[in-house]
Amino acid sequence: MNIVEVVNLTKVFENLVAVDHISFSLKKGEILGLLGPNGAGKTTTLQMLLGVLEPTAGEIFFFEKNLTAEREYILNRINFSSTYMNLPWVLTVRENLRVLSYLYAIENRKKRIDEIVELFGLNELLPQSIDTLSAGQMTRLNLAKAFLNSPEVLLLDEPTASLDPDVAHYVRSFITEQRKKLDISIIMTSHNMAEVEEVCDRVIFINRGKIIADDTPQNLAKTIQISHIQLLVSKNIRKLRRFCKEKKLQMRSDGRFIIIDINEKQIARLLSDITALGIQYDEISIDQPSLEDYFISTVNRITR
Amino acid sequence: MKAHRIYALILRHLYNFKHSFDKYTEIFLFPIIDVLLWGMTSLYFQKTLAAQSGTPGANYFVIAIVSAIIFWLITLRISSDVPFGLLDDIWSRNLINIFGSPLTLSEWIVASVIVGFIKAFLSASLVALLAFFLYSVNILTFGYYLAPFVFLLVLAGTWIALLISGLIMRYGQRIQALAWSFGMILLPFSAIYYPVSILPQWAQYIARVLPTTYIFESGRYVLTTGTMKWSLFWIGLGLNCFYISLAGLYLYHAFRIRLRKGILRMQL
Repeated sequence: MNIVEVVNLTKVFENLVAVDHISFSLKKGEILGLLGPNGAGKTTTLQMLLGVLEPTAGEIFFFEKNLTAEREYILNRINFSSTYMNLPWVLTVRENLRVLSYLYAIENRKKRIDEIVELFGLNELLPQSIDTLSAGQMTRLNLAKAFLNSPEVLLLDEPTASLDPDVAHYVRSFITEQRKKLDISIIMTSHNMAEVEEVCDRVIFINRGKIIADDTPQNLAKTIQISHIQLLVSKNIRKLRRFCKEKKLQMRSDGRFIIIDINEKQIARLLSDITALGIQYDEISIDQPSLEDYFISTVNRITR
Repeated sequence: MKAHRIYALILRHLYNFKHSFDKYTEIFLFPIIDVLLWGMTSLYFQKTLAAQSGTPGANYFVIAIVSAIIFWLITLRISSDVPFGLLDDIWSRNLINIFGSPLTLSEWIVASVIVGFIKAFLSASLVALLAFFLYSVNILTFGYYLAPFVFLLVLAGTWIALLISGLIMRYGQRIQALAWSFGMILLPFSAIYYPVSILPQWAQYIARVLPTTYIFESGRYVLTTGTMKWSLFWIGLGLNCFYISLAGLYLYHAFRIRLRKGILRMQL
């Protein structure tokens, strides 16, 4: 069953087509990543899904109900977290959670706040005002806010932007864990390709408001056939450089390693050629193409 | 309309009030300064006039000026507090949390006006007490007529608040100065401290279309005659209702335009 159905969604700002007739759906328990370069239309799409931006054309359905017609019903069952939002600075964490709990139809508010505080480890922060929280604590609170009404669909706009790696890791683990536990459906945007690859079941790549790919992160990465070979060369490094230049292979240095970008099918041939040339290496590793490679290659292709 | 969502917004602004020193300044300090300054000034005029005429005279000047300050506070508080609440959510980047929730614009309006009324009540009560102890001005001497006055003043504050909030929705933060200045612009035309007849002819035309003029004219009438001129009340009520309808429609229209442009853009 599709929890979210987006049909021909379009947004035009004066002369700019920000979102151009996109259609997609989201299944129950699925995590969908919206990817694309800056200005691609990801945040605009999320805003329309949240009902804070009116589409120029097209329709949005949550739980088979139209967002425009059933706004109140739908917004009670979804929630969001975004880097573009904050909470009132002078209010304490406890006060903010109280206010937010009354905005939604929650049965036992006090009990639910206690559960959320426990879940996100916010107990010590309750008397603190928002302006005293660190970025990591703020992210935890924003996620707590997003989970407060036990949403069936969660919209996350850059959930780990500007976070320390350990906090970002916590957020990622939390999202995947909650999805497993609650069978929640999530649409998220991110600039962190590794994160999208780790968390998302499916990725929609948007550029200039249009969907140009819709697949699993693994399948998208597979469309790129370039692998990265890392060699710790111990002998005849100059020969290797010359060889790469002659064969027109992309080569770069990364610390003590030489990295060569090459089509997957040509790896065996390359290794036998450089051995024949007397080039010796102590270590070798081969990186499969990643979503980041797909992203870079796609952005390069479309901006060329 | 859901009461719990209205309560959420009231709670948000009351918590904000609890923590913000500048709100205390707005609600208590400035009105106290106003009542001290104008009370003393009118007391001075009162005594000078009495000395010149050789008769002690009534306390009319002080009562007229100080009670006008107290009544105007009600309109001013509501008219500036509602748009300030909106601006506060824009400044703290909280607007998406508000309108990305099931809350409706009607609920937002009701909650904001209630918050404005609570603050107006606190502010006017404190100043009324001060006026009683300093100048023996007791606004309760208006008796039963106090209720229709307050009712009209709340309505006047409401339509100004809706209009300014609509303008902020439509044009964003660049016109935020209107939130604290619009009420002041109406002040000279509203015949608050003096009768309409004192105004120059062109200003009288403006005064005649403002409901606040009729409220304060009828207030002075009560002070001098002890009775209410109901015709002034009905005109004030009619004009207030007319402006509330217009301002409400404008706010809804501005909100629709804002949704087309994006609520997020207001915060950027």
